[in-house]
Amino acid sequence: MLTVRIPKRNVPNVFGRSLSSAYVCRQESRAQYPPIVDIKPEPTLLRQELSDHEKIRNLSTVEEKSIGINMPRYYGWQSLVVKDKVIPYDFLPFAQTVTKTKIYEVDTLPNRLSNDDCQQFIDRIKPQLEDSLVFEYNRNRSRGKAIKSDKNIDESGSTNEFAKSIAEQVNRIFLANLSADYPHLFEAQIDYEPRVEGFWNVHGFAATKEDEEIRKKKNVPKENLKNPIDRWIHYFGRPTIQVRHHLPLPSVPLDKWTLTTAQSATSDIPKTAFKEFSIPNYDYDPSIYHKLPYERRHGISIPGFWPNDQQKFGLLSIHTNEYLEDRPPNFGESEHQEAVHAQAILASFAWLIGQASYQGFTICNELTYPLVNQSIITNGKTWSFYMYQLNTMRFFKSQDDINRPIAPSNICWGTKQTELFHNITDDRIVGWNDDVLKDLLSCYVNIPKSRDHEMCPYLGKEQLVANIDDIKKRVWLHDRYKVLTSHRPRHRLLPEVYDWERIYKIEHETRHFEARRRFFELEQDPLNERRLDDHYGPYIQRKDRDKGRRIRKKRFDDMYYPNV
Amino acid sequence: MSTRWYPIYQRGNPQLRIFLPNFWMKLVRPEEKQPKNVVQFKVPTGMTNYDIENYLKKIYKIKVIKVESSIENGKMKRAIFNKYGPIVKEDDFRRAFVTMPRDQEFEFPDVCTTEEFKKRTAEDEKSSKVSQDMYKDFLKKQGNRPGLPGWFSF
Repeated sequence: MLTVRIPKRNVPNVFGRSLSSAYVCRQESRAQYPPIVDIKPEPTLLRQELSDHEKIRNLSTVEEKSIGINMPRYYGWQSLVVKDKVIPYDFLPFAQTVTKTKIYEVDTLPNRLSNDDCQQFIDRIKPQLEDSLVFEYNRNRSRGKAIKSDKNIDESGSTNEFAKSIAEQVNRIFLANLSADYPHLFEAQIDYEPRVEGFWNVHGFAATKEDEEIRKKKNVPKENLKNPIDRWIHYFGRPTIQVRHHLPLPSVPLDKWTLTTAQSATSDIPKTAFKEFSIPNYDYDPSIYHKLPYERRHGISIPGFWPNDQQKFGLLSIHTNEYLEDRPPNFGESEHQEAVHAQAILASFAWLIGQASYQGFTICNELTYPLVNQSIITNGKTWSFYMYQLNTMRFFKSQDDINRPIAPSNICWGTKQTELFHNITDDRIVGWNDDVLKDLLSCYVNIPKSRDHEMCPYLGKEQLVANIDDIKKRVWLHDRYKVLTSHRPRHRLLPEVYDWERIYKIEHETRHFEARRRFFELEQDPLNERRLDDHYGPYIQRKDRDKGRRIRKKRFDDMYYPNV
Repeated sequence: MSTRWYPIYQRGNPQLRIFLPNFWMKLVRPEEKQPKNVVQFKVPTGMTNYDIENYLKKIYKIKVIKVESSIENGKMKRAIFNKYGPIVKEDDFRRAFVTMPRDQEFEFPDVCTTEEFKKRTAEDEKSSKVSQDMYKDFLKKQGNRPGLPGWFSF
């Protein structure tokens, strides 16, 4: 065998120390180093949170963003379920804390018209309203049985039906009379009993014993066990009527309305007396005190219509408060009033985050401009009016540092419950309250205006899944979005620890010799670790696979989950 | 529960007149953070929310807004020294959260702060430490002769 040996010493070594160090010295000015970051566990988690949210921000369509929020959990997020008409005792502090809302109880709302403007409309509307109110009051709504004549209207059980039909009549009369003069009402869409859902995260709840147990398992240091934690909140609502328009309501000039007190009001600024409820720090576990249930759900924010609807901004929503009748009287009158405030805050917030999510903002990316909503809560006779301005909807832990020193808050202005009229005698309405009529009128007359800034800064050029060109991707994403919003349970049951396993395997190790096969024995946590895309795509049959040849690659179809 | 039976009312029977109920309610210190107007009790499982409300209202004259309660499982433990033997279960109990009006506050008092109590606990700790030390000595002596009775050698 002939080999030519080259002695090592004689070859000039290009990668040798002297040459390469010289090379490094030359390149040093051009070198790019990764940023120096704090690698302690907590800052790492916060960085992870921010980078995940950045990924969601970069998604180009509304539907993909809402799938993106759900990506970390296959079985859905463990969330507190809040329903619109289930309002426990002392609920306002909770509602304010989870929505970061300041509420001002005022006599006149920011959108109130001056007296001269409304008088002619009120005069025109009054007789029509009287007709329909008297009709609704005298109508037999017992579905077959005759109402006893001596029974008062307030005692009849069907207040919801009653309030609903009165709200519908009032809405009809106002729209019919005003749309000639106010074309925005002519363009508006009206939904009856739409499905409204809001899903958001709130940081800062006190850790429960279970949370501490979970943290102990994750080897969190002892001093951090009691740190505040995040809770996901899922709101389900069903307003009686909602009116929406393709332009947003103008934002409230804040300098005029938050700073005026009864004493300091000057002459040119409207004089308003108000009672302020500033944001409390309600961090108790709501499942104990308010008995709110925890459920595992895919988080979805829907404002009552699908994303490709043209009328995307809320004008007005009307709710009923028949639940007040069933609340025990020992709660007290002022508590009942606060319950209505809480209902208004939650309903407006949930509707507005739904609208904001259709503009491309999510709970992970802060709003860039305020959104405004008006809402009315009624039981047919007493009415209260609310105006809500959404300034912020990102309540994650990483937001705390961004918000320092002053955190923005949402603002709600509301009136007390006021009677529209005093009584009905001999088919005539006695004691009209014109203030309520003016408030009603002001809600309808508030004209939405186009804004001069960009409305969807976080959306790509497609904006909606419907505009994606790739037909396969479009259909897939559309189906996936509909499946998530439907809240149907997953195909397979949730993994469960049976009682005998908890007793004889987890709490007391009595079965040493059995094979460890179950997820809790393998130190897995499928509920919190399995991701939404952790499954195969649809199976491709062999005949459809590469001209029927026997190959094993690519047996499952593509999936288009967003990369979050 | 006391040994006196709480008779079920049958129609036609004379009306029950109860002067003191057969229930005991135990006020417990909350383990998690809870609002100041909420008080936590451990009560017998047979007690209903109405019973709890009446108990506090009629006997202690407390204004009660609402009562939430649920039955909880008793603890599971090993029968011998919490370590050996069969697994047994303690009795179930009902945990009740009583809400008072929101302007009222209740804070669980610091009980057991008297001198006598401190003295007694100190004595208890001392004696348990002595017995622990004795056991350690015993183990030291038995170290290489497991299973031998203590009286076998000096």
